[in-house]
Amino acid sequence: MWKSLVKSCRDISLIIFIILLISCMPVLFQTQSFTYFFQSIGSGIYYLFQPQKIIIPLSNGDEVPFFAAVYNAYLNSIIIIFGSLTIAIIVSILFTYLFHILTTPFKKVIHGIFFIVESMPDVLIVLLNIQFFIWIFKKTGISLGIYEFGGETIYLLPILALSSIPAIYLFKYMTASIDEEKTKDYYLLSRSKGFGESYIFFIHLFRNTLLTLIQYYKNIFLYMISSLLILEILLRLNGIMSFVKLYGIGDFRILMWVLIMLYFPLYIFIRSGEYIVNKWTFDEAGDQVVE
Amino acid sequence: MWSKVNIKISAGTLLILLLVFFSFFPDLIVSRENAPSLLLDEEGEFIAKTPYSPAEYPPLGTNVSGEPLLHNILIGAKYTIVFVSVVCLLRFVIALVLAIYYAFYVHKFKNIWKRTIEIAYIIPPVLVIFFLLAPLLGLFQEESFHFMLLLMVILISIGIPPLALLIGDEIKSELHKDFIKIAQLQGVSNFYIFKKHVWRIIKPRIGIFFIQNNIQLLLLLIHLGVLGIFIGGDRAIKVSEEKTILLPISNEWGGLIGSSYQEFLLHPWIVLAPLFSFMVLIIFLKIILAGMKGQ
Repeated sequence: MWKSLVKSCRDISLIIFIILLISCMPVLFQTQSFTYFFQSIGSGIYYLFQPQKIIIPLSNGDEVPFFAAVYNAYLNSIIIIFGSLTIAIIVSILFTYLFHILTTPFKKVIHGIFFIVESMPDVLIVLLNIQFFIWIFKKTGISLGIYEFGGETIYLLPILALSSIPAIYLFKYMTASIDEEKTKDYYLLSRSKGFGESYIFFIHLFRNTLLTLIQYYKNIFLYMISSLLILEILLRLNGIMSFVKLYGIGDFRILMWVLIMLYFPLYIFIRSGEYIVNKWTFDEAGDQVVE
Repeated sequence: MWSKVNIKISAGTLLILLLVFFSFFPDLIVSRENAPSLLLDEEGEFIAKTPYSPAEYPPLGTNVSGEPLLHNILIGAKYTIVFVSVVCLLRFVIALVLAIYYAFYVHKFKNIWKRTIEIAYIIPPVLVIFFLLAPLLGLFQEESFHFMLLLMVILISIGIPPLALLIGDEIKSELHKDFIKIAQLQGVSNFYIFKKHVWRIIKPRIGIFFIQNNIQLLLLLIHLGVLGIFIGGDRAIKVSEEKTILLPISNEWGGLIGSSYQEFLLHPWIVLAPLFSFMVLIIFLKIILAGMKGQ
């Protein structure tokens, strides 16, 4: 227990150190002198402990402290990320179940379709989603949250557009691991006892799939964050990625704090995932390398 | 001889080489001249003005200045493909050297390195590259070659640590096998073990990693294109009297996407055409990958 706590503290200090380095590197590139670099590291450490002192001049002239300016955008982005993750999980579970039931010639067709869909870049998927919603709007007049009324922000379209990307990944990994689970002995035992396919799927196969899935969610989350950046630019949303793109270039302290705010939930997520896997399988889950 | 040649690998490689060949000589497929700025039909009636959609000007339409998109895509293909291949090759060469050192000589600090790199790469590389390069975009207006070199160096350095760790772990897991331990007991040098045993086992896996790295780098290039960072900088083109747009100098694909995504709702084909070409290129690479995995 204490050992893992110490490990977490060491990880967190490592993260902060690396974020500091990365935020100060643009300064190094621009001015090409090491004195500025160390100065900025020093001021970065200072601002690390006093975030409320960072004042941001907004476009309409006022100056607000950091957290007030970024709070809205952060909330938007978090809602979009978690919303699309939930939808992706539900949809991929549904599709895996349907795929599991289908007979073999169908499976070949779906494999072929999947091969092509998997090689589509995420920008293409997002843009095609937007076109699809606009087409639906033109045909039926139902607008699913495409445009905003004044200050109200839209959520539905970004969530649906972003959810296709993790859904594809989740579907791929789940079908692969379910195929692997089918070769094991307990599956044969359940079939021989006469249990129905649906029962076996949801109660037995699925639980073991969840374990292998937790190892992959790290990659999925990373992919989603970089897709979120593109999504926010394309749809001109007011999210934390566009915030950092706008303000972070000149001012490295904003960059540093936004990275920390992105990182901490992610790190807690990853650590809790590793802890859960550890508890369930008595196995170290740290063998995956992030590419 | 035909039985020894893997059909998928050769088909995929052939298709890519064909693409590069046509990229050097685009005039064989599509003519170079710009489309007329106003489209008239048989009676001389006005139908449309630039940019033309694929329905009006097959096969892929034109961009705002009237240049046929197929032509631009073909010209840019060689820059994109060659750039990505060179970056990946250099990444692999350097990462292999580092991985050998890591696998054979680093034992005590292995976990520290692994944890550090794992954690450091949670920040998407797109962000890091963007923040490094965005302030410098204004400086490099005329020297596009230097910018391309700088981008290449940054992409290589960002890609090396996780790759070195991946290959290093593969080599380490091979070194635990019994026959290697026997060889070490008999006094064989490390270099010989690597050359004769480890290299033969990891060679197919390195091929698979290479293709996967290629695909990831292509996706990264699209993101960088949307963020405004093109290979080789950009040129400003006057569209009408008051509007100028930035187009990539070399017509490379990431730039084609990044310069036109803002008018996606008006002229979707200008953005979709390079994206579909990316998809086609990735499909070719995945065919090669499927051939390698089946082996």
